[in-house]
Amino acid sequence: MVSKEKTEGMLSPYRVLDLTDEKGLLCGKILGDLGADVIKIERPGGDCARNIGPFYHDEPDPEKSLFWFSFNANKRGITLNIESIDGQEIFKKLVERADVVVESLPPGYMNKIDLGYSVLEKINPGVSLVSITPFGQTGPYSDYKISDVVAWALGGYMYSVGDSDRSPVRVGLYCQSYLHAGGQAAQGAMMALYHREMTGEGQSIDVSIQDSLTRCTPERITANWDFNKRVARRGERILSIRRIWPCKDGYVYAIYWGGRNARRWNSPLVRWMESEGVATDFMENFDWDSFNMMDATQEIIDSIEEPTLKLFGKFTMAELLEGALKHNAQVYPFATTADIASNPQLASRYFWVEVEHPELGTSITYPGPFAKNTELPPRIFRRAPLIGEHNEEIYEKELGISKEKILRLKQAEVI
Amino acid sequence: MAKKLLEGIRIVDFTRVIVGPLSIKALSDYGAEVIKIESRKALDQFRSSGPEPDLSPQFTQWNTGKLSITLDLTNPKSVDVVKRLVAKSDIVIESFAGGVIEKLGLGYEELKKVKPDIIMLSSCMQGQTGPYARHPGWGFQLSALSGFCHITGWPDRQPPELGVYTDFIAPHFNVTIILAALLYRRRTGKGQFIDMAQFENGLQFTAPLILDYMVNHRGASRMGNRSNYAAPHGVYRCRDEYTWCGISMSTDKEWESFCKVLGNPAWTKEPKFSTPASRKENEDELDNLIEKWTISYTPERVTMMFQQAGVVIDRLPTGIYQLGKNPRGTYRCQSEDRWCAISVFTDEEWESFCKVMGNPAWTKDPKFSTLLGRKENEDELDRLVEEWTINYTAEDVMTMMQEAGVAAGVVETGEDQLEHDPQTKHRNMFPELEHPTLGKHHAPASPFIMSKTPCEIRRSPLLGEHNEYVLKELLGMSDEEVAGLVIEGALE
Repeated sequence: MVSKEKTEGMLSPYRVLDLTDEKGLLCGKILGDLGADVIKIERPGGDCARNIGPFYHDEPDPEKSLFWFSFNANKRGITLNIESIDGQEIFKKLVERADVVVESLPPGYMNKIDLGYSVLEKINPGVSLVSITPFGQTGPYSDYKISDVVAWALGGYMYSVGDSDRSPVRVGLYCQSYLHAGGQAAQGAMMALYHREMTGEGQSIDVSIQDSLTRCTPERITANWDFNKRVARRGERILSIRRIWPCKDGYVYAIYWGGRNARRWNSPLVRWMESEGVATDFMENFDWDSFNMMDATQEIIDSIEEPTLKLFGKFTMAELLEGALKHNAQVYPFATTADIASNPQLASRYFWVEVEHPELGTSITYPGPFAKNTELPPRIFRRAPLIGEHNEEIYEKELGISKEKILRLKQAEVI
Repeated sequence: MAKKLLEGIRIVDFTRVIVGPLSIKALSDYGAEVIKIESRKALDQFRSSGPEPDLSPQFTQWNTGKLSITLDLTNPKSVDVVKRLVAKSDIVIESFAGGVIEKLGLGYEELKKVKPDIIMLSSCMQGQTGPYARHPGWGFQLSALSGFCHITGWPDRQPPELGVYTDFIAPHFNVTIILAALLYRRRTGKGQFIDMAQFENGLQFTAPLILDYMVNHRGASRMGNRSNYAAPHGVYRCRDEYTWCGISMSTDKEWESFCKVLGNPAWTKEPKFSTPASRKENEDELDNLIEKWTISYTPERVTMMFQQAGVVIDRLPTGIYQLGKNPRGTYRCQSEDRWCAISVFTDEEWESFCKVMGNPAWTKDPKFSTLLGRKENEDELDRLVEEWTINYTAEDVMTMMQEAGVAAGVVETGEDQLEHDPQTKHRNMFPELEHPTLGKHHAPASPFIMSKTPCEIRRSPLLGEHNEYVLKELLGMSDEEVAGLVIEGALE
C-alpha cells in the first residue's frame, strides 16, 4: 500500500493548473508523478472525460471512470466555471502562484474568455500556457474537428497498419492518439520551465495533436517517400519470412534477420529447436552469414518457417517468454492484459502500485511510475480527485475566500 | 540571434535506432549540444541499412542537429576519451541491452567518478534490474509484450504488424524526466541515474485497460476502428487515386533491359519496335502497350524492377494527371487505395453527416436514428457509408464533412504528409535540409511550437564528422594525441 502522503519530488516547487479534457490529461499526470502540484480544474458538475469508460464494476458514474482514474492520479481537483466573471477572477488568483497552465480548449477560446496568454503574462510573467488543440492554433485545418480515429488517419501512422484487403486500422484503446499530445505537452511544459529558470520569462506553447501523431510516423513512411518516392503499404511484408507466429494459446513475435547480425540473432532459435528435437538438417546447416533476405526463395522460407512453427506450436506464450530468456532468443508474446498483470519482470521490479479508493471501500492495482531513478523518483501516491474534492482546501485555506462567499459562488454555479 | 533554449547543455549519446535518438532529437532540436558516440564496427542499424553509412535516409530522420565521433569502445583508450568527454558534459544517455554499458566500463558508478553531478539515463527494453533486464529486443517485440499488438486490428483476424510503436512512447517520458533532472540539479547540485524500461513506459498508455482487468477482470480485445461512443467511427474507402511513373529509354541496351523486365512479350520482338527510329514512329502504339503492363503494378514495384535493370524511371506524384491527359513518357500504374476516417458522436453530427450525403433514403430508417441503433447495425451502416464515400476523393470527403462540423480525416501517406497536407506545411513539420551526401531532404520538426524559444532543425551528421572538433576543441588534445588514438585503433 502506498502512502497517501505527498513527499518531495523533482518537480515539487512547481504548480500546474490543468484545464484539459481527454485530449491532454496525460500532461498533468506525468508532471504530477514527478511531484508537481497539479490542480485539475473541472467545470461545475465534473469534467466530461469522467464519462469515458471502462468503469469500476461496470457502473457508469463520473466518480467511477477507470479512464479518469488512470490519467488524474496524484492531481488535486477543484470545480470552477471559468466562463463566469467571478470564476475568471478566481482563476487569475490561481495563476499568480502557478508555473504552468495546460488547456485543451478550441483554438482561441482562452483569448475569447479573456484568459489568453497576453492576459496571464500580465498577472504572472513567469507563467507558461501550454495549449493542446487538434491541429494547432492557426492554419487551414485549425477549426477542423478531431476524434481518435481521425487523429490516427491524419497523423500518418495508420496507413501502413492492417491487412491489405481491409481498411487501415488504428492502434487499439480509445483515445490512445491523444496520449501522444499529452506526452508532447509535458515535454513542452518542461522546456518552458527550464527556460523560465534561466531567464525568468514564461511563454506560450502550441501543441498539435496531428503533429504529435506525425512524430510517431515511422521513418520508413516519410523517408521512404522523401528519398525513394515509395509508399509503405498495408500488409506488405517488410521481409518475406513471417514475424507473427501462432503458439498454443496465442501468438508470438519473432524475426529472422538477414545480413550482418543474422547468425548472432537467429542461431539461438536454432539451438532452441535442437533442444526440443524439432530442428531439421536444413536449419542446423543453414549458412546465416551469407543469408540475404532479398534472395530468399519460397523453398528457403518454407524450410525456415516449418520447424519454427513446430517449436512455437508446442508451447504457450508464457512458456515461450521463459524459454526465450533461457535461450537468449528474441521471442516475445502477444501479451493480453492478463499476461501483463502476471508478468514476472514487472513483479520483480515492484512495478505495480496499490492505490486506495476509500469511498469505494477498496484499493486498486495501478501501473506504477514510469521511471526508477536514484533521486526523488516519480510516485503514484493518491487516487484521482473526486468532483470538487479540494475546493475547500484551495479556495478557503489557500486563497482565503470566506465560507459565505464560497456558498454564494456555489449557488451561482461558479464552483 | 537569440540564445537557444538548451544552449550550454552537452549530452553524450550512445543510443541507436529510434528510442534514444528520437528522445535526444527533442533536446538537440532545442539547442543542446549532442555528441553521438558511433563506431564503424557497430553502426547504428539505420546507418547500416543503406549502401554507405552516410547514405541512409532513415538515419537522417531521428538524428538532426547531432555531432558524431567514431570510437571503438572495446579499446580502453576510447573509454578514456569518453570519460574525458563526460567530465565536460551534463547528460549521458544510452540504450544498450541491460548491463552492456557497465561491461564497457562506462556505467553510472564509473562516470560519477569523473563527473559527480552527471545525469545518466539508461533506456532498455525491460529495465536494468530483474530477470529480463538483459533480454535483447526491438520495439517490434515490445509492442507485442506490452499489449498493443493484441488490442490492435480486427476481432475476427490475427493481430496485424504494428511496427515499433512503443519506440514512439518512451521518448515522452525520457525527455520529460531528463528536463526534470536538470531542474533538480540546478536546485540541489545533485546528478542521478535514471533507469527507464520501455515496457513500463508503454504501460502508461494502456492504463485504463489494465485497471479494467484489475477491477472488472475483463481482458482487452481488438475492436478495429470502432468506439463505444460513436457510429459511424471508422475508415472508409474513397475513390482510388491514379498513380504514374515516368520511363525513358534512349539506347538499344536500355530497350533490351526494358523488354527483359516485361518478360520479353511477343510484341517487343516486332520489327516496328526494333530501332529507336521505328519506336519513335510507332510511339502511340508503344505507349499503349507499355501502359497495359504498368497498370498491373504499383509505381513502387515498377520503379524497383526497372532500377534493378538500369532503366531510368521516376515515380511521379500521385494524381498529377487526369486520365487520358498524361504527357509522353508517363504511364499509369495500379491505382492507389485512398481512405478517409469519419466519426459521428452526437445526434447533431449525425444530422449534418446525413445532409452532406444528400439525405439518402436509408438514413431515414429508424434503426439508424439513434446512436444505440447505429451501434447495433454498425456493419450495415459502415457498408452504406462506404457506398457513398467511394464516389469521392478522400480529400473531398474530409472537406465536405469538416465544413459541416463532422470530424473526418484523410488516411495520410508519406507523400500526403510531405507534399499535400496544407496544415503540416503551415506548421513546417518537415523543414527542408541540405545534407552533404544525401542532398536536399526533409526531417520532422517539433510537434509543439514555443513562442519565445523556437526549435531549429539542423541536418544529421556524417559518420565521424566531428572527431576533430570533439577531440581538439572540446578536449584540447594535440595533433600527436589524436594521431596516437588512430594508431591504437581507438579513433576509427
